[in-house]
Amino acid sequence: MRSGRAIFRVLLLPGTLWLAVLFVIPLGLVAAVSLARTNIVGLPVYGLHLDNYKSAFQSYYLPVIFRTVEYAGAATAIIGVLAYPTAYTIARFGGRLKNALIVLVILPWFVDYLVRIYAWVVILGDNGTLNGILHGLGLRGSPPVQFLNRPWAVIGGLVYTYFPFMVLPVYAALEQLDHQLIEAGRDLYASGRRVFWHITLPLSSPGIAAGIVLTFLPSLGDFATAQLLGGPDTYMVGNLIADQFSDVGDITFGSALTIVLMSVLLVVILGYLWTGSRRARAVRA
Amino acid sequence: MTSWSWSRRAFLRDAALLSGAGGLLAACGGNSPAARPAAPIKAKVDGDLNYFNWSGYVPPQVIKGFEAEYKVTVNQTYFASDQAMLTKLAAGLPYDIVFTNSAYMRQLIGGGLLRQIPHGELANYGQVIPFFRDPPYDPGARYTIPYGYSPTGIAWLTDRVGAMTGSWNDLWTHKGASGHIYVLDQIEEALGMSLLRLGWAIDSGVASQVNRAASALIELKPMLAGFSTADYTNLENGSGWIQHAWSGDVYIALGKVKDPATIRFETCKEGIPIGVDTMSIPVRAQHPGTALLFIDWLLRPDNSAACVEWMGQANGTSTGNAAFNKLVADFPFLQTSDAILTRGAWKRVPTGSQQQLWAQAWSRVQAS
Repeated sequence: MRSGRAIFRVLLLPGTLWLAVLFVIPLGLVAAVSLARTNIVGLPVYGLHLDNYKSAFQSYYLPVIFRTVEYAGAATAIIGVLAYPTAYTIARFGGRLKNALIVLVILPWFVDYLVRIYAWVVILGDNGTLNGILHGLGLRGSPPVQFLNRPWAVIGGLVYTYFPFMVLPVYAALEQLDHQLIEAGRDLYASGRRVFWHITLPLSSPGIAAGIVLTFLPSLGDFATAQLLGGPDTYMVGNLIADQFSDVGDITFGSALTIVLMSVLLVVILGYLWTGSRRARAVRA
Repeated sequence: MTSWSWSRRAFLRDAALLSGAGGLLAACGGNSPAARPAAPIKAKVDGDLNYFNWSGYVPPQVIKGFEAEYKVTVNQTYFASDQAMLTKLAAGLPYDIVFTNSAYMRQLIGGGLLRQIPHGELANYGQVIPFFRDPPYDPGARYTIPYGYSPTGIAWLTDRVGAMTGSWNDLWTHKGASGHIYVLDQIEEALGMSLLRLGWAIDSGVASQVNRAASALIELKPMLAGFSTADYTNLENGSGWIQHAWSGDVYIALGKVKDPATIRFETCKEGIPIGVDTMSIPVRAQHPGTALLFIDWLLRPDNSAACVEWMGQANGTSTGNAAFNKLVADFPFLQTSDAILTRGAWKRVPTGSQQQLWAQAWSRVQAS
């Protein structure tokens, strides 16, 4: 037994090293930069300055934060509604095609995310495919319908991008679901709807919770979708951070914003872990 | 040895991010490459060329011609913004030639990131027009050779809007174009333009002025389709009726629309923002000799004209500027002249506390 444990310790090493070198150290650097000031070429001069955090909590950033949470929340809710039936159908009725169908769900990710968002620009643009079709059907000619620069374009882009991240964990939960429980429910004269609400849905809730975390968190930090499909009124926290690095050159402020955003995300994660452990306790009890 | 230990501490503090402290280290006798009093560069091949530029900014045939002439390879890497260019140079990446921008010279020259260019080694230096031998951003042109410039103004679609007045107010006053107006998504262009319109310096560091300029942009926001640097695309696809634009991009849009008479461009009386993309050799360059030959290659009259025709911008050489005015002969509103250079409002990206002031003001505009 002891030697078996030792093996696991050794196996842990590469992953731990990877996390330490590529995650903890860079994160520490970001934290250090957030407390720094910049020199003439924009490089950090390290110190303990809190001005960047003071700037981060200016009231005029509040609308950006609310908007970001709103978009990410809306996108997550829509993804949930769309992804659950997808995952359910594949898990229940996929048969031998299950794996192929799951591959189809993640197939868009074989193409780079930015390229696919650009494709949406082409589809939704004023002179784009969709307006062309509308024009061809004689529904709306000139001026074209403005699809881009609208909140729904950004939320739609987020839904499109992160949809597979909900399907996969929900599918995994449904796939492992013990069918005898459903059969038992039916034997006890529960209707299909009651079986779903009282057996299937609660048992797949860990998958839903994981899906929410996997879609909500990246949506909160996303900037490419809002940058390409959105406009001046759809500016998200991710855009604010990205602009500090690529446009304004204020990497210290960008780092402070990153740390603040990560703290918020951490709260969400802790909430998820807490409900998870509560659920585990409930199951044991 | 106190100075040594001081520089060593500075070294540790700045870890790998040394270039910015290059000047300090030089004073302390450190041995970063920036600190060595570099011998003047000789124009001779000393290796392949590591080239850092906007994507597609130099015509491929000119680069191929250079490779064939000098039997070297040009390794091209690109940046997506001037800020990204500055960040990479500051981090000490060893590019041999970089296409810098005049607005960043306080950072690039002041930060000790560029090497001096010995004009005597450039056979075609005589091509550079007098203005660029002593430009305001680089006295004596010791660090920069001009490559391309186009003033900023307002472009509009004549079939959508009329009665433009040659003032930056034109972005604010056309209520009928609401939702079809674009402002350039670049801090020095957007805030600089707003400052000029209010009668202040394009690079003002006065907090009240910068904040007022930002508020004016926020007042404009409800009328905007967006902040965008894709000015030629917006003009070409018709989504931008009024577009804060670079004249060079207007030329590109003119070449793409069916009827060029539908696009016009004006510069504004409150001030013409101007900046020039320049060629420079970073202090970390490992093949500065080849880089010098490359600069000379681009100054050669035939190549200079080819570059102008490729990018649709004047370039500050006598041959190139003549080629440019011939290129835009049909569009008198795009013609360049020395007056634009001498009277223009030269863009300067702020540093230090002024940079913070600008960054916060611009973030407020974006967030509001």
